Amino acid sequence: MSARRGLAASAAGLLVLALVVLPRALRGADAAEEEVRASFRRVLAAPEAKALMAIERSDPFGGEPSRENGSVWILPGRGLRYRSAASGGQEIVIDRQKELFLLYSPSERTVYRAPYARAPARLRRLVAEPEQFLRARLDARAEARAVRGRMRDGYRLHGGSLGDSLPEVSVWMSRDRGTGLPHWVSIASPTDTVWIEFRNWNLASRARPADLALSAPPGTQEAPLDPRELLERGGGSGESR
Amino acid sequence: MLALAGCGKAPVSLTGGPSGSGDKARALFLQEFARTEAASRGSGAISLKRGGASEGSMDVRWATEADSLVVVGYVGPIRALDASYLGDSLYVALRPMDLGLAGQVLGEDGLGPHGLRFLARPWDFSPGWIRAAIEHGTVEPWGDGWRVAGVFVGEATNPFGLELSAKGEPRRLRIGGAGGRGTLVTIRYGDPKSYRGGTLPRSVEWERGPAVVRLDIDEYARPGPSRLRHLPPADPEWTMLSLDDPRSRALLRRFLGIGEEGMDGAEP
Repeated sequence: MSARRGLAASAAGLLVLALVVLPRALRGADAAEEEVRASFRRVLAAPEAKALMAIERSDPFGGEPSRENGSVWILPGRGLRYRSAASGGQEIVIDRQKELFLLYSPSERTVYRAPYARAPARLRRLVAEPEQFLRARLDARAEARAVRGRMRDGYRLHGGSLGDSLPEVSVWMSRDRGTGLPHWVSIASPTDTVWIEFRNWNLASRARPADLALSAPPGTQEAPLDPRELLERGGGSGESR
Repeated sequence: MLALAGCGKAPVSLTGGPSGSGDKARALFLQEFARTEAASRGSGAISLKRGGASEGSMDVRWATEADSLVVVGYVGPIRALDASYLGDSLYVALRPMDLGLAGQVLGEDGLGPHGLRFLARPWDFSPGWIRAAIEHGTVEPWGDGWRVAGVFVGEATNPFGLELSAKGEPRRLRIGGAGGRGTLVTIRYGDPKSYRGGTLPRSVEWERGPAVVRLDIDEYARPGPSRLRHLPPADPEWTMLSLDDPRSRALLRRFLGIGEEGMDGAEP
């Protein structure tokens, strides 16, 4: 539905939680916070970071969880791109330099286009001011959790200050034992839980802006990605609240 | 002739018409699709076409309990839509748009609150006013199946035509506007499939004006009644519109055809 068109906010929403909101809460001096901060700093301070993502979301009504694999490219200061590995899965690009916010839907053979300013504000801040997120506060506490049947050391982060639209969000993360980079992130709300696994981090010494290019074939039809146009078309008076 | 007279029986046709009894087909239909659904849970994919052009799709999960319905929509693993219909109160949140719609569904809106609940899960013909209308409808041969025609009496009076296969499987339901003015909505049902929770169509299509919404059902279960997880409240920064706001109307018209000016002219 149009929510999918307008979802460019959303596919990268996990990135917001995992890479934006989370480090934003990083402040304080204890070791746990320093370790978490250091883990994310390596990603956000690199000219370019790429990783595979496996995302699992529980069913709020007790059914089987949904799963999706994808890749993420982060070019701090320049932009980011998320590409689902699912057949017909979507791809999102935020390119600050080109002033673009794009969503490619292969199943619809359409690229939805909007100006950079229409990208979610949190993502734009991540792109434009990554260092800001490394100064934020997070009440990190060491806590081991079972992930896929295996106990892993990690950190519970109080989510009340995360600033996400979901209230009472609880966040937990663990680092990769070998690299120290973010490995698992769990984001739990009262209704469902999202698990993100980052794998195969590749921190490049130089940014490749070409990595922000959509994979849509040349000539793919384009449509505007601006759901608020629908509101404007509808006319009417001010907001209800 | 017998069928047209409402007896619902037709002889075996030698010209490709239905075999058996229309009454029997209707009874089979009611037995399978009008069982009371105390609680249910399901998942699938929903897509929207408008004027034949795709306008997007999302995965959905839903749960029902008594008169309550909760729907969550995902794009990939990302939550993009929250909707709940509790009593007469409708709440829809389009998360990527930071936008919510909320308010009471009024009796004069389409089929009214009860009708909207039926339209939201149009495979459940168990509500008394729906079941009674089908039980009292006239049955006539229709292609290789049957057609039940009658009137839904809810907040308004809406004529309907329900097409069934010879086995009593639903194929199409056309609901007329109040007083028989045009077609309010047409619902097409895919072939039946056995799910864990019972038999349901593989797909359902709602056609309203130029908008066609299609649901492909992946999973359907009937868990024991339990607390429905209530949806998170709207974010204070969201734009919240009441249902009677013209912008809400514009969105509903755009996505679902609700409130389209001028209905289809065909009779149900």
